[in-house]
Amino acid sequence: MITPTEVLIWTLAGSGFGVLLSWIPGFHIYNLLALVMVVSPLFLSIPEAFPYFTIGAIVSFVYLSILPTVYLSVADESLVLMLFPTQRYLMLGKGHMAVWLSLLGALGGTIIIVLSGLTFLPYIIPFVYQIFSAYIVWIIVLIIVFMFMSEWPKAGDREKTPLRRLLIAWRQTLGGLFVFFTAGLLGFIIMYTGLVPARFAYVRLTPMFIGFFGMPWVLQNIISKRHVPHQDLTDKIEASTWGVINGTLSGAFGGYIAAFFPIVTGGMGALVAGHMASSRGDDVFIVSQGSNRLLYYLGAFFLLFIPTSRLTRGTGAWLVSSLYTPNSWTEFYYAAFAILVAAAVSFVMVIYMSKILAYLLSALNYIWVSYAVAVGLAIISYLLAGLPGLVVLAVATLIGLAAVAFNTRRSYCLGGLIFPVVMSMTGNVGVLLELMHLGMG
Amino acid sequence: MRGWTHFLSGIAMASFFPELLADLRMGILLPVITGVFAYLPDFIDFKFRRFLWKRDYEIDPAPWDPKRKLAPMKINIKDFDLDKRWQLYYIEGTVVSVIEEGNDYIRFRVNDGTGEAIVEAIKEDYERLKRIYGEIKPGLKVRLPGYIDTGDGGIKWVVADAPHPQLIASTIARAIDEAYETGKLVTVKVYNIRMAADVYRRFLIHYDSPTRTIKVYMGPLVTTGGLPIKGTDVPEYRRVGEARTRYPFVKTYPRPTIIDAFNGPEIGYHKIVLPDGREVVEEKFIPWHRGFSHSFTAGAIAALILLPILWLIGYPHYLQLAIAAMLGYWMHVIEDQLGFMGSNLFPPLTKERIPGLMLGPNIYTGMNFATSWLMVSLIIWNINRFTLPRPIPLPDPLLLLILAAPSIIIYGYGVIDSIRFRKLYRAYWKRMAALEALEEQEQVGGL
Repeated sequence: MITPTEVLIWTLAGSGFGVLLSWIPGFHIYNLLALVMVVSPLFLSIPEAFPYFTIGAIVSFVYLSILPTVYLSVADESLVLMLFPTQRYLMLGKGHMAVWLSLLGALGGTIIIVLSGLTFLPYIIPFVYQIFSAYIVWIIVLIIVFMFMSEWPKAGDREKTPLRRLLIAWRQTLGGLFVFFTAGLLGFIIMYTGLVPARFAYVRLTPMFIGFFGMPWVLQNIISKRHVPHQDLTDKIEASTWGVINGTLSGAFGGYIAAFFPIVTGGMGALVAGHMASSRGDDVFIVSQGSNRLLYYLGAFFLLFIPTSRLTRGTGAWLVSSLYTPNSWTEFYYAAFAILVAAAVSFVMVIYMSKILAYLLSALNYIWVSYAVAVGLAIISYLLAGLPGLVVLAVATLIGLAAVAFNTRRSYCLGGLIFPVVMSMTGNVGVLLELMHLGMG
Repeated sequence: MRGWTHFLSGIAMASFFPELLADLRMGILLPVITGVFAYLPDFIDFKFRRFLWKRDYEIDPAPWDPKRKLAPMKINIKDFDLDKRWQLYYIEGTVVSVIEEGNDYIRFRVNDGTGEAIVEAIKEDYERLKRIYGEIKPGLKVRLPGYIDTGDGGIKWVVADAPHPQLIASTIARAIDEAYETGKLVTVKVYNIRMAADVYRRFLIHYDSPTRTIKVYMGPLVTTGGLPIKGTDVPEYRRVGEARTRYPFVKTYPRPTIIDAFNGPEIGYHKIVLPDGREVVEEKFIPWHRGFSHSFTAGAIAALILLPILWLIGYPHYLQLAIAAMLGYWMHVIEDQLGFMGSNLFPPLTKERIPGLMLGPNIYTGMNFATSWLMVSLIIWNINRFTLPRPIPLPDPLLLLILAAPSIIIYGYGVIDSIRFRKLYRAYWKRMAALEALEEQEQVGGL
């Protein structure tokens, strides 16, 4: 049995590992977990330490990835009708404040995950699982349908004729459908054909995600020639207490939904929870994102530790369970302790690294930084999935840019994950492969 | 209520039918339609009617640059026209001469290559100009946001960072008078003001019915979340626009109309007869919303259309699904009726919106959550009672009570909140009636 001291050491080691890599744009949790796999042979002799190392890495990833989200995804407002709230903060010189808001959410999410885990969650999860397990496809499809139906037409209002207004408004929704299904087809081809060889295992979806979400932002920065304005580095937060509470709770609720239901992502969970809690406002949104991401990534992993249910949700949990599955209440309490330790380390690191990044970005030529990031993303894709990875990156980037051009939700790119899985869950993979004249990879 | 709450209601209605739940367990996803139906009233209004609605007046306080989709847009001096008065634009040109300069004002001429105009900057706008350009002297190249106005010497350019609210006030007053005179619904489209960095200039329309005055207040820049940005308030001298109407008007909802982020609203004005026999113009906010689409009649018709389609495609539980879809649609109508605006519930028997119950007027978030939670509770409760063995081994009434307890508590508070609000509301109307009587007496010389 692992000792508390060993738990602390391995958690700190995981945190250090996460801190070193998570702030780099493009280093998604999937990349990180792929690297965790590389170090996993180390744990063959001490497999019981692996879960805590992974907790440290995931917590650090959630906290540290706030930095590239805020500082490296700025775009010109003329390219998109609505900016992401963190981009708006950055362009108003308040990037550091956006980091603080996200941190508040992440901290709130950390407290919620630990408190709920230590109190009611172990008793409720088995019932929730029994109630909903037979209806998971229904729930996923419901959320997807709702995403499309609730798309708010941002353009068209200023056109001269009613018909033209309708046309322009619907271009956005139809564009969203286009993005979802093209992304879905790409994901389907990657998962079920030999385009990206199976030896790339866990990471073969990574170039696709970089193309959907990372690269279009970087390209936008380059095209729009945007420079980051001078940033206010004061440690202050402008947000109402109610806004922070609302954001944290709705984000946590959305995160739990995403953690519990397979394929439902953090963004989809946040959409549902945001509607339930009537969350409105940039500050509330940023706080909720911090909380949501923590519960989404860590909530799914934490389920593995709950002795009453021991659900395996998410790549991290599958990876760890291949070496070792925690099976006692002691390990469950150790996990809660590990989360708090890793969160404390990451929290402090984020504040200091935010200041350094904000200073550097104001001082450096942002366009050159964006070029460097673009090259970095391409190299990561190549290293993870070879030449096919670069092909996937290019196609996915075009789809990501289409979402920008149609001014529609970027989250529709998640079709790349949702569509193939829903096809699989409904038993339609073979039908589609036959229709497309493609063989299994 | 928010969209997901309505959507959930449809799902909850489907869960009352064991046949539909059994289909879902087998991967037959058609019952998703109930969620779609429950969201349909808003989908029809916000995705179709909104764009097809006829606009009688369009107020664009700050036209967008078509490429950047932002205000202000550039205007050439040769295009100066009083039709564009008070709208925010910018001019770019060279200072030709300074006409006069005082402690807190300056007047100078600018030539932009298409013509020459007199430019005026006073008080805070003068200070800002000095901060940016230093001394204003001939030959200086300038880029000046502002608006066209008239003065002693004819048309002039007033340096400003926001449009003058007078444009909005005057147009709304004109629309109210037209609605009274023609007896028809007059719709005014008010565009919002979008500036660089995706921030919006907030403005507020206040209907002062006792004095028959429309007052428009130009506010600070705000984020899409409505957070004001410090130091962006407009100077006092161009903060308020006022216009009087010839005819009386009322605003049923006793709060000003605030316009900032997202899309500016359509506001309708139509003549009504009050219970005391007076004819007044009433504001009908977003007149395309909560009409026929939000009625029990529409729900029944939609279900009647769905029924043969389901039968034709051979879905065995077509009747249950059509009924569940109709109930979902009706739940949307009922939920909306809990608020202020109400809906036209039984057309063609009813013609206008029937005011809502005003439940929980100060706890909108809570009411929305309570309704969502109630629907989640119903779904869990139904799945549990139609699953064998039951995942939660509790008697049905007890389980429902436990699950719905948070919603019951919040609804209870919503009723108390509503009673309090109605008291205030009545007091407000009494005060407004007294003020109006006073104003009328003043007008006929009684005081």
